[in-house]
Amino acid sequence: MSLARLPRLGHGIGLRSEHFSEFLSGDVPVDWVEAISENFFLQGGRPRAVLEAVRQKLPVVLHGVSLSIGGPDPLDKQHLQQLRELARWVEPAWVSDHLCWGTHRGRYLHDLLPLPFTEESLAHVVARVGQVQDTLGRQILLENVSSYLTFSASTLTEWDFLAEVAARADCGILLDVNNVYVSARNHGFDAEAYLKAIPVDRVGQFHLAGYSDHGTHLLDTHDSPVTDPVWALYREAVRRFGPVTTLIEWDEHIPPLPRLLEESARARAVAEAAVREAA
Amino acid sequence: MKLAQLQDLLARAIAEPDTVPAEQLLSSIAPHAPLDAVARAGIYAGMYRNRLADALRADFPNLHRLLGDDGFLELSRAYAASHPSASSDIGQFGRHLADFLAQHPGPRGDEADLARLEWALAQAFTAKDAAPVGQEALGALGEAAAEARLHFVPAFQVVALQHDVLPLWDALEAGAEELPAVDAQAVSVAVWRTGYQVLHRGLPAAEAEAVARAQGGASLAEVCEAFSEAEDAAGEAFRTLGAWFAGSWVARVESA
Ligand SMILES: [Fe+2]
Repeated sequence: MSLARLPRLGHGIGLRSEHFSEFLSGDVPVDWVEAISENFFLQGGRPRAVLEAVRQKLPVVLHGVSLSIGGPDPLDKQHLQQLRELARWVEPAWVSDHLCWGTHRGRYLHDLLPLPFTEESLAHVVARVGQVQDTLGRQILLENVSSYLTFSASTLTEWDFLAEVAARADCGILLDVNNVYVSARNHGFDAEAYLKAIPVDRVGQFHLAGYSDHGTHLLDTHDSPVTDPVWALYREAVRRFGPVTTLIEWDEHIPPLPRLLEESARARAVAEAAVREAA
Repeated sequence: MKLAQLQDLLARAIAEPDTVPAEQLLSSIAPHAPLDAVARAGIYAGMYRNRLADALRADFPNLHRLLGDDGFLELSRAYAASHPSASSDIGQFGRHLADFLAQHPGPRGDEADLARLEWALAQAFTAKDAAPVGQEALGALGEAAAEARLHFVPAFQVVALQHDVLPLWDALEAGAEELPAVDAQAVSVAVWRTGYQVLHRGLPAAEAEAVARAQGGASLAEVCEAFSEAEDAAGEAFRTLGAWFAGSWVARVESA
């Protein structure tokens, strides 16, 4: 089992409503865009009209936020059907969501909550990834989340847990480099050791984003530029995994498009330099 | 502890932090200086509170202006405790806020109606698109028009309010310092969208009755009878229906 070879799409940004008019009116100079799946579930309406126009010009990937793959409730059938319908319509390069949970007995916590890293969690997640991949008829990518706590019950490291999920469920990994850094700082582990434990052939996409520093901990806020230590870790990631498709995530205090493109151009420059160094 | 128990614990620590004894957190969540288990769970609880309050603020901006930051956060907390979010779409979280306010009225007494109006405005913005038809759709039917039925676009709805909060909404929207007094006059308000702009206006009694009849499947002749009290009943009916078509309210004219 292995991850189907995913195309390297280059450098992209999120398709956010703040920039809909720019995407509609002209060519936005990016290689590809990432659309938040749930924002486009509704058939008809402005979001679908924008996505329809964008997908004519650029590759699109779908990124979900509420699959709750590790959650205690059964997978939401309606959610899966909506995702399947959207994926058939968009024909994205791939579909991703997060390795976490967010619902509990029908209550939505609207967060990406950490799992205990145990055999029991592994079995639970792996079975559910299988269900999702069967429904969608394709492999998905799962993203590592930022976390602010770990469970005493954990018997595996986060990186071994992530690698095991990917191997046993035969899915891909969306490696969020900022999340690796944030969690490393919050829990005191070595971010580079994390990267070294992730199998190269499973990583299909990178995320980069900004965090905010609360003194006692870092919060994954997606509201600011990528920080220097995360750029450095990204360079390491490209050296190890190659020039994998990269997204700048910026979801709060979203800047004007030119500022976002500047950040994406910086990612391209860092990646190109890392590829040259690795050669 | 098993996975399900840990998830139960953390979910409660986030959504109902007062119900979870600290010892339970300390024994399940690993400490890592400088934060202990309680502080770590507290990070998630704080983000949860803020996220839900943000979602409500987005849909109820004028209620937020009326109550102020603290009052609004308080309302958001009390509401979340009784109506947990039940949809993956956080935009649905506020759907019961007006009913909650009706059961737990604020100091003015018309807060529930303001919330009902703002929720309707938010729904109109995300309602499904439908191409409206113009008045010529009616003209094309000739004599048969009297028996035809109107179907409204999905973005159109009428909200029935116990208090006339339209002047209050206007004042809050304009950022006015002085707010109008409570007006205990019931009012029906039409809410709709043209393009991506959401509009609303209060309906005179006869027009509200006419819309209600049309929504109930009445024929156009029956709809027009709602204006029979008017001095120029036929003219009034004609002008009002013209405004419905011009406002992009009508999706389809169904001939009998
Ligand atoms: Fe991410």
